[in-house]
Amino acid sequence: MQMNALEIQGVSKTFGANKVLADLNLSLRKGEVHALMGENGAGKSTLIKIISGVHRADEGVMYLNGEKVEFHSPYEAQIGGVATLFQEIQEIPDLTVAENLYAGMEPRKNRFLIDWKALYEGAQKQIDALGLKIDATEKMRHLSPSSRKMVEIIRAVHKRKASIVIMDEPTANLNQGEIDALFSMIGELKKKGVSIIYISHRMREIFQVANRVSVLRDGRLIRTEDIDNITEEEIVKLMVGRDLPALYPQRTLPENAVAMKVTDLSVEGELDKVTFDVRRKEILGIAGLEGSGATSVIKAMFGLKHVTSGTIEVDGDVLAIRTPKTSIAQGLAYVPEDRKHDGLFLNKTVGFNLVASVLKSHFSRLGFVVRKREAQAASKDVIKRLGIKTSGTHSKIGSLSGGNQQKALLGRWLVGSYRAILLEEPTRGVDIGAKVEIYKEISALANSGLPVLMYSSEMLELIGMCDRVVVIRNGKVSGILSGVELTEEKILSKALSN
Amino acid sequence: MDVILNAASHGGRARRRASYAEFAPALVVLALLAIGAISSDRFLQTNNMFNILQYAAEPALVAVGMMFVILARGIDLSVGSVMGIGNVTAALMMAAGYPVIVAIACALLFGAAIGLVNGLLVTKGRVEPIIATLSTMIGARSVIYFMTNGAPLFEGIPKSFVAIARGKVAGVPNGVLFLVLVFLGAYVVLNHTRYGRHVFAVGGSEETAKLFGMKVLWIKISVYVISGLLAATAGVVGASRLGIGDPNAGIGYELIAITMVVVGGVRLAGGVGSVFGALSGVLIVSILTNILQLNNVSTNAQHAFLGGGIIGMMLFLSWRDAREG
Repeated sequence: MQMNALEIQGVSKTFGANKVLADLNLSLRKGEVHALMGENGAGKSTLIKIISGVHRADEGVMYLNGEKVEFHSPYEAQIGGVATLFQEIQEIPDLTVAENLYAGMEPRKNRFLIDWKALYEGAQKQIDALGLKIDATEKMRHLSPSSRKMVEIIRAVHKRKASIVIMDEPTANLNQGEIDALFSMIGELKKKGVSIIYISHRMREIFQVANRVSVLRDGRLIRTEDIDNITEEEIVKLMVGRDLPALYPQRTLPENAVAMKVTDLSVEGELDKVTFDVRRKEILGIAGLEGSGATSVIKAMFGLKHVTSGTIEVDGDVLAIRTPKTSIAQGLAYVPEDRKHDGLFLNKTVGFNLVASVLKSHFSRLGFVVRKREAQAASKDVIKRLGIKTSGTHSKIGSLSGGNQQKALLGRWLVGSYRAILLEEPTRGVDIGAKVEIYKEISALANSGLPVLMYSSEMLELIGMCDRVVVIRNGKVSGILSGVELTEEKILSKALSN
Repeated sequence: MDVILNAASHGGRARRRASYAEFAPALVVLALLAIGAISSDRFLQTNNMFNILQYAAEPALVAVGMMFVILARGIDLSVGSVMGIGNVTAALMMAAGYPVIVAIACALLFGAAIGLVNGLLVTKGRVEPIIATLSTMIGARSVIYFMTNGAPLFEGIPKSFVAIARGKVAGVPNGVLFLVLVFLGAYVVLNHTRYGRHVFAVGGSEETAKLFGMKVLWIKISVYVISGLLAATAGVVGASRLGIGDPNAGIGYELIAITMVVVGGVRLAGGVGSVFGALSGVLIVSILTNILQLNNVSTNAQHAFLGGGIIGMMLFLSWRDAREG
């Protein structure tokens, strides 16, 4: 029998009172792609952090290529042959692509000076070999997010002769060409006998690249199975441990009365006279390809772009588009697409995050927070209503899993009263269980009479949730689809041409 | 400003072009040279040029050390006091009869040791750099007053020591050579060694540097040691130039050094900056001071000019950073 690349036996891990991993076993064969599936909080992140040396297991042993190992730091794990791609891009933004690729391993001449020529040529060769258009002499900071991710992938995979590569949501920001490049890299690695642990919420990818799949739930391994012997539905069932309710909530029809009216919204070089209206109780979707300007619509409305012309009317009142602060004051609620940077105070508590935007209007007098207890009660309500998994209002929000952070982001707008809801990628990086709950809340917000505007890059999500979808192309509205017309093909054709 | 943008971010392959902003400090130096030449006919004389560079040597030594610390996302307020330590240690040792070389070595070691303390406070002690070095700044000055009883030392400094700063090699004052050497050394270390690149990396993102397997702890400590060592060197050069041990040597130099480094485009938040820029920063401050002196501007007014100049440069640099996103 062939020796396994990685053998994990009886691993347990507890954070505070929370048992995250319980007596977990997992084996990874040489040269296989092993998908790790599980809802947020199932223990995937903790498991890969233990394998990659970030955390240490309370109990259990780990064998790498038959040898017992114990990593005390990510660096030790790297040296030991475990390369990890975390969800956040690991980079030094002000150094060049080539320097990032070779960081810590810069080629040298005379044992002292860096061989810049070898460094840049070597880096460019690796990039070119994958058919990527990235300049090795460029600073990381100047690349697009997807190019930055590709650089990180090249680095993790080609350096240090890794025998195991862990990829946590590697395709999150990649376009199709880059995903293809990644998959061909994975194919080459497999040929070399490198094993890959692959985490993704995109089911289609799992069936495309994985050989085997393991499903985790509540910190335990539920089942490991060859990919050919399992179906998508079975995986989902194993993940949630119950039959999944319908993904999208049943919607009631919106009223005819127009609640929000956007007229001639323009942003230099991005949007050109975008006009649409949202009816009472309606969820209106915004779709568009990368670079179409679709991502700018909500940002412009909320005051995050320099708007050259346009008006927003809510219930007949014309709003001033100036800054996020004035937008909030005028009753616009906004969930940004990048929750880590724009959405949450990561090192503040859950409670603080939930009431941050209404602290002044609801719980204070003369600029001082006076109604602390009520603010607390309000955030407790939201936690309960959305089923946010946290040990209390006092835990730091950064310690929550992605899905729970996203729920909190939405939950913030449940405290206080608003006149319109603006959402960007409301379920980015969130598993199915959390998606269902978020969808339910969005629908409830709309049903309460509010107009909801939602941008998403997932077409199925727009079709499932929205009453109508505005398609943006070249900064202009190229069509508004509804009813039977609301299909993937129709959206795409509108997004591509007139 | 399109030059800073590049096609690569849109998938193209254009070579990276340096932005005007990167050369801004050097352009300011050229502008100041022109202003100096116009405002005074003595300005461009070789003598005056050497003068500028010679007087720039001590602050330059301190500024280069400061640059290492700032690049690694730290700050070192103790450099002025460490200069004083270097100054009086060398003077006291020579007055006590020790050979020049031993006196210098002890002075430099003392400086490096204070740097080590700074480094340990910042890393192992997890004290904010500004607080850690503020306390060593105060502490070291107090040590100086204990060592000297607050009085300058005029006696017992040998001629061979004085010759170090006052001497010349092939007509070029030694001070100018120190300036050139320290920048050359910094250039080689920062631009051509792994250690130097890792200093940038640690300043850019400590977490990532750790994941990349860099010796973050060692790098963070070492930049303070380098800073302490160079500040003590500046103190020794100062003692040699004046031929006395001065307990007040170095007072205010931390601010001059930070000014020079930051005016030269080194980002206070770490990770960005160039040796060339820092050299320009040193020259900007030195030339501006020289021009003001040649034109008999009073000392009080000189500071106003310097302050105004710094604000102008900073406004420009922050505008540049905003452009770069």
